[in-house]
Amino acid sequence: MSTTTPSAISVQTIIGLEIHVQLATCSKLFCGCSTRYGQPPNTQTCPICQGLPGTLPVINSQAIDLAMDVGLALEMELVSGCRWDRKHYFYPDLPKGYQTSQFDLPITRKGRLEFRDPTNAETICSVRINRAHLEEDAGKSLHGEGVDGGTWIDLNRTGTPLLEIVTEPDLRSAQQAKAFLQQLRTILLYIGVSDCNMQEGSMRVDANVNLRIDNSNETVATPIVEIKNLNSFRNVERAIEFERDRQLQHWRATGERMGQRPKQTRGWDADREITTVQREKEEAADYRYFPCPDLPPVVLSVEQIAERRGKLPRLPQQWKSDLIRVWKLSDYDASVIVEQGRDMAEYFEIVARISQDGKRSANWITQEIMRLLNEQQRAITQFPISAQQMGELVAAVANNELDHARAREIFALWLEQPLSLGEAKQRLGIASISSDEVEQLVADIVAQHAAAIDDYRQGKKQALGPLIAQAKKLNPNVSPAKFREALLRVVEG
Amino acid sequence: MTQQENLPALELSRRIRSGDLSVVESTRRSLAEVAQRNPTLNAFVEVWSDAALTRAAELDHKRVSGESTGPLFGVPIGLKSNLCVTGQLCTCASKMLSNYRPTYSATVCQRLLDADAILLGRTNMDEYAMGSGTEYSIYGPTRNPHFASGPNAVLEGYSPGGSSGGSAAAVASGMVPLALGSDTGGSIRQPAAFCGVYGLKPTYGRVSRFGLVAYASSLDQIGPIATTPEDLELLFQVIQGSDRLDATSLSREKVQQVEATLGHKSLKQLRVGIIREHAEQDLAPTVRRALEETKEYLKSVGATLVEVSLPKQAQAIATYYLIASCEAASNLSRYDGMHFGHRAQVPEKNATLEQVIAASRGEGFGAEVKRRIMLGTYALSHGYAEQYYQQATRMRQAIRQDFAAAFAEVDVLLGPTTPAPAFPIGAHRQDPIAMYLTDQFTVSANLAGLPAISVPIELTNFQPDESRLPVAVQFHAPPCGESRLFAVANALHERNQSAKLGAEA
Repeated sequence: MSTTTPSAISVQTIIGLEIHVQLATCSKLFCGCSTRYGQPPNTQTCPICQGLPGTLPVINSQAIDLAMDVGLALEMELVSGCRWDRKHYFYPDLPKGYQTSQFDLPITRKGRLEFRDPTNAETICSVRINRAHLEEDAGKSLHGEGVDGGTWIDLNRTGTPLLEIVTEPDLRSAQQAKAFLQQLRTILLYIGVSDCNMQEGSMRVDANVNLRIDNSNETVATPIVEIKNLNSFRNVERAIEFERDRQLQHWRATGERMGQRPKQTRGWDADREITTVQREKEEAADYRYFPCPDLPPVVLSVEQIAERRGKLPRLPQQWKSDLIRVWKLSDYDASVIVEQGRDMAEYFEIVARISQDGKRSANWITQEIMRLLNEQQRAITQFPISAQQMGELVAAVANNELDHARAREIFALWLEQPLSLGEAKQRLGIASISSDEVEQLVADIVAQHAAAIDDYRQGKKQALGPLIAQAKKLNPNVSPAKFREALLRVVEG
Repeated sequence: MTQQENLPALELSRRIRSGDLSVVESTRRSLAEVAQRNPTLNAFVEVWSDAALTRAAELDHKRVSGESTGPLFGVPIGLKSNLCVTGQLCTCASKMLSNYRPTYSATVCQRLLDADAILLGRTNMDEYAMGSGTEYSIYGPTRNPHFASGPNAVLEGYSPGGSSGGSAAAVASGMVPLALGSDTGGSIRQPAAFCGVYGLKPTYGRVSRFGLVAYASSLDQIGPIATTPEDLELLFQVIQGSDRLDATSLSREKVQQVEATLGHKSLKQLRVGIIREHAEQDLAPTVRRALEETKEYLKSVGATLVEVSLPKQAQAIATYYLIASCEAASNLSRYDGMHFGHRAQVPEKNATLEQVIAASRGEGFGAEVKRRIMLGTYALSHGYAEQYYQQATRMRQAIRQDFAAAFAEVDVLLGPTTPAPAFPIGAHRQDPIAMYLTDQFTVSANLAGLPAISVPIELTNFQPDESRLPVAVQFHAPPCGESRLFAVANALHERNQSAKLGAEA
């Protein structure tokens, strides 16, 4: 975003992101080891991911499928014949001495992602995706945890499939970067390619940031800084904001421009809320990429792509327009539900299908259910009331079999006990009443409250309120609407 | 035990099956032969006597109880020291792996066991298969069985060739009828030629590389060494076949499909291409005569000889050493002293990671391995890769096309395996390039992924002052054309037998 500063310059922040997403495969990229998180160190390894001499990698076809799904979801080009390359560097948690990745022929490239600009709701931002490539993760170095404070190596993560998604530098503010990532995460969750759990490292972000400064006479760009390993959306936002201010200050002090200094890598210190230098690219390793001779190129046939396209789950955008079109939800309600994730959207769809009342279903979900889930920090999949039950309840209200208050009583009971609708009604003494019973009730009330009836007839409309309440007290099963209707027939008749 | 009793594997296995000989007896004979000859030859670097005899007893029991017997039933086999067998040392003749015991077995070793073979021990090699003389080894050089002892022995002896020199010498000396080697640029064929035995480099992808410690992955193939073409084929049939653990292994359907298009050809129908560029090279007189005698023989049995040209042959050695070194530099990155292999004791208390890795690699690798790692690292470096690696890759493609064009004309190609017979041990120690040039006729098959065989040739007469060291010729076939190679070798084997009888008469 542009800001005009007192000295009449305008500053634009230029941001490109690299997102590492751990794919939700059952096994690792090149061997059969499990990818489960949080297991005891070095219990999910084999000779292949340990990099023992003589072992060979074999590609996990599920990783290819999931990468294709991402490519299809982000409207990218899928590259048949994509290659594997080795990226060389020495580090103890990289047992082969190279990482198998994709260098010049990634599995998918050239896509885009659209999202609403958080700073200007009228604007749709479109960010170009440069590429997404597959690679294996390295192990973990546990520094200071060994005997004598030494380093221990855990190879459980070694060989876990990652998809690295690289954007073009199309983002212009920290808020946009955050919104982009939220939208990307929602899509990845909907198509089920990753759990995108940032705490567990299954989604990690690097941000490339620099400034374009418009002076009155020229435009200058500051040197690019790469902020590594951001593990929450908040950190992405804060780190970019910090870096924008730091670079502007540095430019004012030194006038340093792009090209006058090599690309710098910085880390985000979340406690001190600053970025710190990790290394200058000049001293960076030469990775000596070359095609991995152990892995043939991946051929994606037209049929295979078509099949995958056919199986691709509905994307959030599609869900949203379906909710608006089929269930007549407002744009706002549809967004709220869709943003909760696929489980919530599916929950809504079941409730709406059973109740045949989209608006009421949406109200229950966005008001009652989401409030509770929020309070208890739970997911919809852990919610005690099933979508089927909820559908029956909303249907009963929609068909005037229950009033809203009684429905809420049932809802509250269901949170405690797994009962059927019938059982819950019985437990709460809810029964349907005949129109004769309603008329008898009206007659009783009219007889007992002659003064109030007179008030009403003289134009004091609110006089009926206490009568309806009184009726409900006498018989909790009476529908206030029906009672009111019958009462009016008598007093106005 | 006399030389005549060194039976080929087929015959040995037949006698064991018929009950003439027990597996234990046969294994003991093999062990006795090793005990007698190995101190001079240094072909085996480790003999697994206990495991071999235990297994031999199991196999005897299996036969007696009437269970079915595998194609290599009771046959003792030598394994090159770069093949993994669970629990046995696999050192690649390097200090780096001197204590390394794999936790799994190579696919080929498992197939040998499934075929009821006896794994007798592991054989000497050049460190990480980088060399052509079996001299660059922590175990010291292997000697060629020819002129290694007896009245005509030379002081240091002759080289058995390399890098599978231990396997070739073990077979040629009769310690074992069969051995496995690996061939990245000629490492099976050149030692087979030097030692006077048969050696096959299969089509790339026909034999699983899983469990072969990699030197140059796109060139490496495991292959058999034997004293007869029949034995060679027998061992090849056991180890070949697709493997889901090797993504570069050819599927059975693919092999069958290619074999079907190649069809079957009798010797009379065979069109043999004579590689003009090889014939123009500076060849030792006995090698030249071996080629001439082979041509005469093939003509006499009705084959048609056609001169063909492989114009890019002159570039093969440079192309090979670039690609092989690049892949080696990458494959050998894993030896950092961290997870397995040699780790240097660095005296500084706060030694950096880099110091430990550098010292471990500095101490663990020998000079030739370091030379190739440095060459490969340089050739892959930023700014040089285009000039070297990419250029070599394009040349490799051109060499492949040369062969494809030649095989449009002919069924097999004939040329020498090596420019000269075995050299004395140490002859090329000061000149690595001279050593590299001994591979000049073998590297192309690896670059093009083709099968190639080295066939020993019995010369019908010698000049009085001429070397009596073994000589050989080499045949190349199109991909999956191994059966053509076996057919030609079988015919030449018969010719050799009668030439031998003629010489003795």
